[in-house]
Amino acid sequence: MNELLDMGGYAIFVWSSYGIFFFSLVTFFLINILNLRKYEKIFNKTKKKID
Amino acid sequence: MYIKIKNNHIEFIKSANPYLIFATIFAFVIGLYYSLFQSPPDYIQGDSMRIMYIHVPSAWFALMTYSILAGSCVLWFITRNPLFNVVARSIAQVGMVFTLMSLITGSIWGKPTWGVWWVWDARLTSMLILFFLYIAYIFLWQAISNKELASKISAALAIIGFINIPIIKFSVDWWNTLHQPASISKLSTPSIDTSMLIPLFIMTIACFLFLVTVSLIRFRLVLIENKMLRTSN
Repeated sequence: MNELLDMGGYAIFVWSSYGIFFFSLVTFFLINILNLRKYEKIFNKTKKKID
Repeated sequence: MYIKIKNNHIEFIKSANPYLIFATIFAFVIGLYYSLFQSPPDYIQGDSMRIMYIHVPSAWFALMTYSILAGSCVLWFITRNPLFNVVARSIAQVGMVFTLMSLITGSIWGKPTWGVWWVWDARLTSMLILFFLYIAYIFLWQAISNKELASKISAALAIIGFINIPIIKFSVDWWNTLHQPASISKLSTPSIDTSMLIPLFIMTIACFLFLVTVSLIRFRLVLIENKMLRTSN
């Protein structure tokens, strides 16, 4: 386990790369899915008003 | 101009979304297992080479997405079908994220490999230009209130910017760069071992699934934005 965490002395580089990569991808995905839900709600409300 | 897209197509995209999310997570979990546990360290670079499994797919999809973006803009100019504009706007942000990831992970990988975080060599500089092209495309469309004009200007920029794609691809062959030349090419056998190709292949599939999943979410988002713009006008 320690060997894996140490990454042959490159732990800071490997883990920070993977951390930044997955944090960015998850954040980007969440922003878009939340925005979609928000816009869908607003659009449906506006549509109802027009109808 | 109205976007001709059937409701059942939107419903199909909606219903495919949970499966795509599941497939993306599954592919990333398998990819991570192979990248971090199964793949051996490189005999020169050691474990720092594992950054390749996220850096290389990011760079590939940064280029691929820009090619689709530029292609959609060309088709929009020819046909004036707003669907191509929606496609371009849907994938631009995903491409920007992949470009940024490629630059950041490349920089982190560069420090233990080259001894520096950044050098202004042809490959790195042209990738940075690609990142700025994505930003320019996204912000131009948002900044110009006349959306017909915004579409024209941002599409023109995307098409002109396509000249950067072959420059990125061949920069390592045309100039002396710190960046290594391509290890995987269609015309020759890969210069990396199968034990490293497998995790790279799985992470590439995972990134592709992510690209498709988020692009489809953004496609729906951009469609609603368009409808709201039309309603407000």
